[in-house]
Amino acid sequence: MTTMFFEKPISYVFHIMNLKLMPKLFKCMKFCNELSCYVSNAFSDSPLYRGVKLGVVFLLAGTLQAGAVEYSSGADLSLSNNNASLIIKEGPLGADVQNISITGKVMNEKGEPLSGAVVYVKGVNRRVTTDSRGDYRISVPGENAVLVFSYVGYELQEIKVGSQTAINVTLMSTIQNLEQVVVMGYGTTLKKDLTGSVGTVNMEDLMEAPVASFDEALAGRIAGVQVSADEGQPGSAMKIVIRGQNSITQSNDPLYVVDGFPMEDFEAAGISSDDIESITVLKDASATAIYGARGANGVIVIETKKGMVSAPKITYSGQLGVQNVLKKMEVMSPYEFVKYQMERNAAAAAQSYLTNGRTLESYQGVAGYNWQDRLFRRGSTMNHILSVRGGNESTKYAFSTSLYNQDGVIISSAFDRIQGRLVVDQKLSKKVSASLNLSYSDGVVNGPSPAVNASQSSNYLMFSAWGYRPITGSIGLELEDDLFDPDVYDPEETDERTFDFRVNPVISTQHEIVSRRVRLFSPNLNLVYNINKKFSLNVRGGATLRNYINQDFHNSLTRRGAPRPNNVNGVNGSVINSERSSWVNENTLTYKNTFNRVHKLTLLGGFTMQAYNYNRYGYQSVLIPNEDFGLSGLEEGTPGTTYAEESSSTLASFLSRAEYDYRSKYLLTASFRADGSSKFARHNRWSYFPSGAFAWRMSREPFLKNISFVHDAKLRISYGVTGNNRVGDFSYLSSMNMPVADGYSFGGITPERSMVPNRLGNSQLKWENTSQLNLGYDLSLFKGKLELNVDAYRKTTYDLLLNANIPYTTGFATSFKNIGKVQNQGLEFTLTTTNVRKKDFRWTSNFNISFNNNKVLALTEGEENMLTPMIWDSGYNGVPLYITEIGRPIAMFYGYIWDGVYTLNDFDEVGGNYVLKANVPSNGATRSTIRPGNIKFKDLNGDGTIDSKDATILGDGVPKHMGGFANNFTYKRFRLHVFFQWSYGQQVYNANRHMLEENVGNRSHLNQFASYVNRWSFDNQESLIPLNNGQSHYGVYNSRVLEDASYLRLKTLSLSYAVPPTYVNKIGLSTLSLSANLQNVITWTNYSGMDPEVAIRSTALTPGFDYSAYPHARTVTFRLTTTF
Amino acid sequence: MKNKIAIGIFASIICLFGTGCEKFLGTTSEDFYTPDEYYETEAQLNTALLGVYDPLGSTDLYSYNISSFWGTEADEGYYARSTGDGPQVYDYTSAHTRIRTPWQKLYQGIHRANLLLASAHKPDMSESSRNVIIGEAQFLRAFYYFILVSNWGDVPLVLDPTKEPTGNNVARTPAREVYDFIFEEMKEAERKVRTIQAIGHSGRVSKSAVQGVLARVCLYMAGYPLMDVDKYHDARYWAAEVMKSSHALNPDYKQIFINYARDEYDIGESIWEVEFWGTGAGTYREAGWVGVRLGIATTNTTLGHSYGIIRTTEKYYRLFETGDLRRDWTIAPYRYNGTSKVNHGATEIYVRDIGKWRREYELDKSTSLSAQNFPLLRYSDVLLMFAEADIMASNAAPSPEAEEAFNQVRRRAFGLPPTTPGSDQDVSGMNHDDFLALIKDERSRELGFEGLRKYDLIRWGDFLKVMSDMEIDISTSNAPVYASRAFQNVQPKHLLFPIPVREMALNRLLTQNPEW
Repeated sequence: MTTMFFEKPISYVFHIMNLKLMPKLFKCMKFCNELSCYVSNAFSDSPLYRGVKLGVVFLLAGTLQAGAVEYSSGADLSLSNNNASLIIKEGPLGADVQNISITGKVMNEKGEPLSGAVVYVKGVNRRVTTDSRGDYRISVPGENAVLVFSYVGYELQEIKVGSQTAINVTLMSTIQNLEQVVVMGYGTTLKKDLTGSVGTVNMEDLMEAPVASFDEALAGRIAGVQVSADEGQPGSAMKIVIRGQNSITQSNDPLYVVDGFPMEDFEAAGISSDDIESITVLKDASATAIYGARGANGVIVIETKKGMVSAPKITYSGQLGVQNVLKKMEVMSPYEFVKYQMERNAAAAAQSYLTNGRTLESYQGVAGYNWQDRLFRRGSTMNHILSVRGGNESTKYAFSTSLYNQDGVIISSAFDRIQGRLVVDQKLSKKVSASLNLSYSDGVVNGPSPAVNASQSSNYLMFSAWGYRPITGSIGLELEDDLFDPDVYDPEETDERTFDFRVNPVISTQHEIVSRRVRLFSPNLNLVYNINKKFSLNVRGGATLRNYINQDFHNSLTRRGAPRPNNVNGVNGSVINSERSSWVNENTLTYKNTFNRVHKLTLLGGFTMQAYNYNRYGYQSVLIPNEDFGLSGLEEGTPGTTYAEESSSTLASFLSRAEYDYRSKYLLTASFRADGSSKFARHNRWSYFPSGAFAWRMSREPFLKNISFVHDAKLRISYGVTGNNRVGDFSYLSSMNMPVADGYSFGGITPERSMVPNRLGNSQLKWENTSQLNLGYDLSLFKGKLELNVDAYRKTTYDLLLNANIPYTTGFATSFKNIGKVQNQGLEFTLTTTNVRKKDFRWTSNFNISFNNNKVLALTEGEENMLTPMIWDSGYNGVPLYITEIGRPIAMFYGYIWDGVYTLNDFDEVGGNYVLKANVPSNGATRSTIRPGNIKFKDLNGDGTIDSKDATILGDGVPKHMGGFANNFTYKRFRLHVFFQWSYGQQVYNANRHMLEENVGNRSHLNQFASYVNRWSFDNQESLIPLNNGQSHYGVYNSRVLEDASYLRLKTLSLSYAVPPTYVNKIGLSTLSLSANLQNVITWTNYSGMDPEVAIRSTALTPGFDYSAYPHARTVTFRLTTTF
Repeated sequence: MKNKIAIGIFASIICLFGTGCEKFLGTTSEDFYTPDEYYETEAQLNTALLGVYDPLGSTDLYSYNISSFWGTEADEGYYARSTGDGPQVYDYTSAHTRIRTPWQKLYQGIHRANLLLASAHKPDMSESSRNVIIGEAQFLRAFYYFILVSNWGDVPLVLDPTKEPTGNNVARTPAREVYDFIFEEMKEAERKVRTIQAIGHSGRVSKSAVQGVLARVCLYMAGYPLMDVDKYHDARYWAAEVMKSSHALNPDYKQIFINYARDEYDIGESIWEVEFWGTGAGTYREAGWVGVRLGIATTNTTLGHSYGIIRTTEKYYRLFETGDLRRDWTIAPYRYNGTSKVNHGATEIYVRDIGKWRREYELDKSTSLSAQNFPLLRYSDVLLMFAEADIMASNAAPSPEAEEAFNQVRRRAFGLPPTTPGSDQDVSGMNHDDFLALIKDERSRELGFEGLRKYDLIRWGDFLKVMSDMEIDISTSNAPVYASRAFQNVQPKHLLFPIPVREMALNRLLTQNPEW
């Protein structure tokens, strides 16, 4: 150690050659604690910071307090000529030595070349960087020389040259990086300086999932973010809820910010996963309040990949895969089916099945039709991605395009998409730079959802797939060629509610045309004007234009166009075009300064404007005479419904944020935003959203500094208010319209439509607010090998924008009111560990779990609870399945408690008849009709019968906890990714079982699930499945079919191999990696349906309902990625 | 580029200091009218008036609910399905859809009338035309209240348009006051609306319609539970007013219903009817369920697909005397087998579908919905009301006018010329009580399944007894087990519907009907 003294403040110049030296410098510069702080701060603050990380030589100038400098002999400190400045250099400059030329390649663990990596000779001022192929050439002084390899985000590696002349190096990426840049609203920050609760997605892991859109792979990746699929249809979007549902009747979707463009309704499928650089989820109010009005549901910030300084880097990735349904439902065999039919109605069954001398036994072993096998197929996926990225100091560009195709596991369902994106960053002058971001996507989802609302349960696709009989009794009656089963319709037995719309599922699906096309175009221009060192102005202008085309055509061979009673529309079709466009202008001014070296202040102020336009035009045509022309024959039919709609809204906001940082130890963030929305009447237009956060990096306190295993420790606390304005554009105004159904015909002449009030406006309508308190703790131990993040939050949403029920005596059913209060509180844990870290083998894990508890605190004035039906079948539509009650979570399942079946003990035997004992309650049916084996419910009020007074809370459709567990194993050039995801404690109402495990409609010739074989009978009295015709009534919800849908899924499994460069280079590529990626590999669950992750047409009020959902698929793909 | 920055800054400044922000945020819709912007012309008033009529034909009222769920009530028929709950089998709670949605629909119609009546002064137009619109709206509003009060008893009486979603707690007005309002309001409407001759069809509210319904209102007021017996005089007066106009019975009973099926009008017999139109396909949604639900069951689309949801009771079948042509029209003597008609055996009574609304007569049959109209007031009803009011007002034997009115209905039933006195079916010289008993039966025979029987029985104070007698009657018959459900289930509380539970939760000033 050498010491240098100086007596007065002195300006200094650091001349740092390499990263390795940095700790040395810190150690040596004991002369002044402030200096070291200042140095580190200055590093992180400096625009040259990235340069440091790159190991680039740079100069840093400043002023030093008087004092002493103690420095290692490896460094070279000297005073400048005039003694005014201090020069610190890397140790002794290399002397003249013999040079050996070394060449080689620097790669990452995946075998991808690292372009721009620094290679230098230890102790000698000699350095080179690798080229775009990762190749370098350097001369070293001799065999004893040590080469050092460094690259941002990777660990340094030293290699003694020895006798080698070619040295290929594989760098290992560093553990959890506190210096990681996190993209926030209107700016970036370092992970260590975060004050709010922010989750980031490991994009590398996410990319291992073979999915069409990133949202499909998001589940379980971030604590507190619930991502679930309604069903498994290709191209369908995921439902994302961050920290529980705030809103009862309105959207709970988060706000998306893509490259700075805020979007309330986002098309995840419009962006290629490969184009995404980072996904950040802002969870607490401190992080979201800068988005004020729209931040209450959380914010997902997506940044796309930009160009970089490098020669053009061309990357191609191709992937091919197959899909299979996770599970098929077992249905009864022909023998079991005929046996059931004979129990149902012996006479009719004999007529149908016991002809030509056949008996029941004749059906033993008969194969029968397997309709599921005909409806399902092996699906396929294909994805081609090509990108070119590169640039120089003044122009950086990134261009990418992708082509995706998926053929779903149900015949005729498909998803096709093409995308393109162009990002250009251009320096216009020393102070001004511009970036242009253009993206286009065109996606088509083909094929109907089997769960699309059809008003009658028998008109759903899966009902037919499972229920269509496996055999006919008639010789020569084949079912595969006709749309209808000629024996099925039986008017004597059919209530109109149980009317049978069963069709041949295969023929119907083959002929149905349902397509939804989405085209997105988004131009976005951003200008940065660095006025001086402290001020910079950012002006952003952008637009998104979205065009939706919905096409439907139902010909006479489809379930919705077939000629039969109740189909008043005959062959019908429709085309509906809608457009959503929005433009935004954002202007922000940032001020950054550091005072006395330790007080770092960043101020942001800005003004933004955004406007939305919506229109929808379309028409339906019915009774189409010439169906062969398909959609082009629409004009020949009778005009049906026409659609014409326009709407618009605007938003203007002022925003501000102050960030204060004292020695990276105490961090304060405060933000304030004012939002004005056109969705409210003038006097309620503006609302104000403040937030504040404080973080204390305890690890920088002396008492923790000496605990060696503590790498970093930070306590965070934040509070803030965010808003929600997701109501209709003009909900505050009363309106009148001319609905198609409202009119009258006088004297038998053509009706006229009437003008009627259709909405009761609320001039007092105002913003919904959510206040959120967040307490967080981040702990990093053992040099970051173990990192724990814990967050606890409580958020209360008040002045809820509730589409509130109002008395019918007003003439209306609902109106928007700021009424109601909902609370969500929860805990989130994320644990990231590096378990093994050897040269050839690494194992890292990420585990997260989150708990959320949702509670309704108030509803509409005086309302104790809100009952909600699920709309799926006309026989059940009037019956509530959900109750939202004060003091409990939103939308609990509601109905009768199932109590098994009536047993013989419940009856007195009178003259061979079973007569229900007087003290045994009925099940809602007429007492005299109840027989042993009939379904039984709990008579809660003890009045001897079951009616709506006995309905009670049955369960909850929302999980108690959920999470994910990701593991990455790297062995040499292999990488194995294993990702588990689970959801625990939610229930699903498996309505399929009403139709197919008890045949509530008592429909004739309807096959049932195989489980129904075990139904109650006098020979099988232990069974809890009601006997034939002893099922629950139509329109009765009960807990028999409410199932625990907890699951644990091996969601993603992938194995990749990076082909060694020696082979790759021979064929003219710079890298080549191959992988096999599997999605939805294994699911552990007790749920009896196809998949527990199901919730058709789900909203906050109607969670967890399963009926005829599109099945989830297991995907196996093979991927090849190469760069040129 | 610098310009763009300048524009951005400029916009901010405008918004900060000028009125630009408010202008930017002050979006207006080009897509709809607010109520304040409407009701400016005569044409707009007429278009709005259609909206007051519209609820009549909705599934919640006459298209579906009243005609096939409320209308099966009492002793005439039973709901021909083994499962399902609802008012048709007296198995429902205050949460039931068939209680809730009609209530909703009725108040929706009332609100539409309230809005129209509050704005009817706005257009510059002839007073006579304005009065017609006001009169029809007033009458319809009163008619909706009539349905409410006769089914729920005390109900909130809301007469002003709703302005805001808050502050809408309204207490129930006693039934007597609601009836008084209906009575006065209809009398006022009667002076304003046009005659049925001027209108030319029975789809619209005419003077005769108002008069006839006034007679019905008065009978309901005079009977149980109000027992305002003075109203028998008013009932007689209003029925007589109808009889003064040129109404006449259609000589052929079945032709009345064939006319409904064919959307043809006989303004002599049919004074007011619910209009249905079309097939349900295409641009309008004005087709109804009447024939589809109430017709003779068949899946044959040429005959007209129908569910046959109501079947007769044996008691009702036997109520018809030999030679009464109404029986085999009201109760279908046959069923369809394919396209052919198969007569029921003489003992097969309970399997008979009701036959008033036969789709085979419809002109343009769609697969599910139909244009078949539903009667709200027929002249025979007026005649029978007159006869009843006459003896009840006098509390004596029938007057000759009452006998003649009664006999017209009876003659037609046996295929005799209605207005030719002296037939062998004529009754004369009966005492008060016998005549009343005869009227009660005659009303049932004449007006079966037209949605009136339950209310007649209630106002006569006979409902509970008739229903429990039916239970005994049916238990010894060959009826299917489920046919007795309604009769087993009925209780005193069923004289009134419960206030919908949803309404109770949202309007804290409401009270519930007894025993609900």
